[in-house]
Amino acid sequence: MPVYQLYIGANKAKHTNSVLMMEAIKKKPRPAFKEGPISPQFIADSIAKHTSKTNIGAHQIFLGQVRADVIDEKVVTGIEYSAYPEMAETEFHNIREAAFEKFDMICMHIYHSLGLVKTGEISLFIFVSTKHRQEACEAVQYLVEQVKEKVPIFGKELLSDDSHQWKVNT
Amino acid sequence: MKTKVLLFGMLSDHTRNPSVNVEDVRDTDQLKRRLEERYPSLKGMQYNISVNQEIYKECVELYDGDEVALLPPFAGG
Repeated sequence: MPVYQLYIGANKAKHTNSVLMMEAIKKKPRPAFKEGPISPQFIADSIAKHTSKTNIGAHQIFLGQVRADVIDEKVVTGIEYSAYPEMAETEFHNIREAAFEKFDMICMHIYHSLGLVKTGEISLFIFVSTKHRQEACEAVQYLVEQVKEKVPIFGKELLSDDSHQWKVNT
Repeated sequence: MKTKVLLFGMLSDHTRNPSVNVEDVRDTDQLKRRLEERYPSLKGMQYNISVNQEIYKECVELYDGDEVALLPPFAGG
């Protein structure tokens, strides 16, 4: 469980010394944001990276796709995502930590797009791996809700007549 | 004291700027009033205020160097 151990390391470091603290900071997970849509190839490659982790028995994946909603006879052609990046990365970090406390996960990854994602393209990719399927299903459900509720991401829905409106999660 | 305020999403449409400066405000309520005077269309908008990347529903004091942001409803996913 490399990611989980990393967080235990980070907590210990707070109470030991600054050298350990620096190590923990260096090992912070890679940013969750990706510029533009998340490609099917990237998702496939992520799955392939787990073949060596043979303690995994279940993967659960959630993919958020941009929908062509119709608003006052205008069609959504894409969403331009923006964020408060520093706060968002902190929130992603907190969500990860809480999820590892709550669920028995072997590993998990969250990716979210920034910038333009056209309708039909993927903007959110959540990937959880566990020993057994039940835990994976529950963890993904929890993570999707947490990301929508807690991460300061904003979406400008671009409409077919070149106007726009701002998306709000319900 | 000058406070820099970051505006995100639909709120930056109202100020036509992703960040604005506000002079001599001691807390978030005063900051909110000052911004709404300057940008009346912000009144009635739904947003939260964060100070140093933490959201506060109640009024909090502001100090030199604080990073304040106005956050409209989130739309991740």
